[in-house]
Amino acid sequence: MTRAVTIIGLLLTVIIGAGTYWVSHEVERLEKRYAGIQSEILAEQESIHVLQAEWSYLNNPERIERLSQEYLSLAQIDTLQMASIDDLPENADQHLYRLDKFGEAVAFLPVPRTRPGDLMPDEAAEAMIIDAPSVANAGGNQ
Amino acid sequence: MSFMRFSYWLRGDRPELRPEQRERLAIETARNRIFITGAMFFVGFTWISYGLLDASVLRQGNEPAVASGTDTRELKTERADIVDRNGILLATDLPTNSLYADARVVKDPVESADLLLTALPDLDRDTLIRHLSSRKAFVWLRRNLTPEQQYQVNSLGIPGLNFQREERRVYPHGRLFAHTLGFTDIDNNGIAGVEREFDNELRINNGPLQLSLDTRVQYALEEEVQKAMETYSAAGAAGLVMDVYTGEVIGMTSLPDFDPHRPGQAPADARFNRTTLGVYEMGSVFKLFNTAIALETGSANLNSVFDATEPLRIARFSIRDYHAENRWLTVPEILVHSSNIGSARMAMAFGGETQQKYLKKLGMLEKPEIELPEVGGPLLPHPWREINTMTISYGHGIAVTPLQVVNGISTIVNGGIRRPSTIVKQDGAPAGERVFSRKTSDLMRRLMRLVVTDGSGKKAEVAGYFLGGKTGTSEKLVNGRYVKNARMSTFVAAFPMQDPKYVVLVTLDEPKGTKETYGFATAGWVSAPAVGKVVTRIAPLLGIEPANAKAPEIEQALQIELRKGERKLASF
Repeated sequence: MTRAVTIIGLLLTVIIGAGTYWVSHEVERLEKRYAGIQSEILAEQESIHVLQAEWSYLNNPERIERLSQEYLSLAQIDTLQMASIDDLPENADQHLYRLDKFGEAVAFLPVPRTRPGDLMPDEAAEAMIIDAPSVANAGGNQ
Repeated sequence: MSFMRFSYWLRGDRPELRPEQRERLAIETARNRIFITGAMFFVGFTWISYGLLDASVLRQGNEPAVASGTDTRELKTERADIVDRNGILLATDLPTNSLYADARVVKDPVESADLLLTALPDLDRDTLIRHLSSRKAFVWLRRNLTPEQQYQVNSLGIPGLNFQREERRVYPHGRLFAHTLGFTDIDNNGIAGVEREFDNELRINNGPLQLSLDTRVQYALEEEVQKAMETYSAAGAAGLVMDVYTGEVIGMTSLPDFDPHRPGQAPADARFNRTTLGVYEMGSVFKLFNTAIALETGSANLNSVFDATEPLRIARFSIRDYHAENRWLTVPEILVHSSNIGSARMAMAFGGETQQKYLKKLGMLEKPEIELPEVGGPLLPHPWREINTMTISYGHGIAVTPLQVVNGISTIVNGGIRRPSTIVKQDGAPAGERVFSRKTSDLMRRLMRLVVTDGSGKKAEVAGYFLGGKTGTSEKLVNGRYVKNARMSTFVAAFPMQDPKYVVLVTLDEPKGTKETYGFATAGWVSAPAVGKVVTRIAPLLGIEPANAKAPEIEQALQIELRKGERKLASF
């Protein structure tokens, strides 16, 4: 009886000792790995930081403009090219054909939409006159 | 004696008793002791068992799955980043490596130097040999190597050469923000611009500092101002874009500029910030302030007429008009024809004190408020005589920074509320102070639009964006004297005028006329077109939709009558 208890006690002690040792070892190993991952994260963060700077550098508007001129056939957007969804005819299909005065169907010619900043017809006529100072006036100032 | 007794007591023995009694006592003492020790062990083991039970069974659900990282390290640079309003990086710290030598370890200085020169050919050979043979423990060979250079030097494998890790301030956009951001010295201390103003905040590094500037707007502004400056061979130029409702500076450029990585190599003139530090007589741009004051105080309305039939003589001065009409002018006509005489008479109607009061409210009499160390105080007349009131009405005899003018125009068009200028991004409009009434602001919008449709600002017109503004050309003061043909040509405009959102200013310093401008170098010819081009480019970026001039609500918002001023018989 006492012998059995002693043996079991000894066995338990050995198991507990080994277990504790193993756990402590495992913790140490995990801690090492954790530190490794930490420094990897730091290195990763640093390269993200450098890449961000590079991204900003590559996004320099001057460079983008140069590249766009080189590779794209796009130009500065004109105010005329901008329209809102309200400018579209509501039911475009209806206007594909219309009846002329002889009762025949002819293709519908859409009216050009009004341009931004359009002048009234009389103002437009006035704006055609180029205003520049007379040559005599300009000569005196040069 | 007492020691003997103590020793017996300790053993639980009592020598005065009989032997068999002593024996029984000893056994009893031993039993008690075993019992007490056992009880202690019992308590200890119960405690441990409870702890075990608590840790493994009771607390199971509440334990966090991932340990909270108390020691998670964040990458912290020496100085915080600076970003624009859209989060684009404007300034950051990058790790670099600097090359130094431990000259005591260097074996053959000459051979090492020659080898090193294959990787870094721009180093001076003699200096290098002198450094390498100096027997010093530490000597800088080259600061801030590129990664490629570092790799090359490393692969040479010269003994005694080492790298020192450093951080260096980098501006990815180079010159674009040079004046606003400023720069740092070799030890990363901010010594100009935002870098200096926010030096402490940047050092503490609680996340990036967000400015109100917009990289795209800044670039469009800088490019157009640069083009204008080159076309008209100007000595310098300044450009500003401001949000009228928040006072945020969206774009700010001063030319010539410099490379913030090498500020020392730039001349002082290039490092000079013309938008906030330079004070200039702004010329006729001030007529807008003058008219706004007159309308606000009620000393004039749109139908008031002023005598501009002949030059105004006061003391030994004489005030003339550049485009003389030689007749009576209404208030809108005074702005359209930019009449100095009319403006001076308008100013006389409300007087010098009122003028000072309003200019003070507009912030023209103090240094501009902006988060930059480079701010210039205005040049004011002292004392403020009648003649000063008259000349200041058309922008002479007072010198302010372009920033103050832009802020003042924002105040006029935004409904009359003045908000301090800022380069830090704001959440919504900050608290402001009312200077002009809503009605005055509304009238001024119409008048500014009139200057572009009918007056000197025609060349700024951009279809669909309804600019309104004012030209201003003044002769430059050099050593207290006006110099002919050395001008400051300014155009300041707000857009879209039916509901102004932004103010744009372009100032050219000493522009020269070209064949295309018929030799003129006045603001209407050189600065106004530049503002027009800037608006064409930035309006789509800022989300402003071009509108149709025939739209009734716009016509109504901008309608104004340009009536010819006639001398009334009654006032004769």
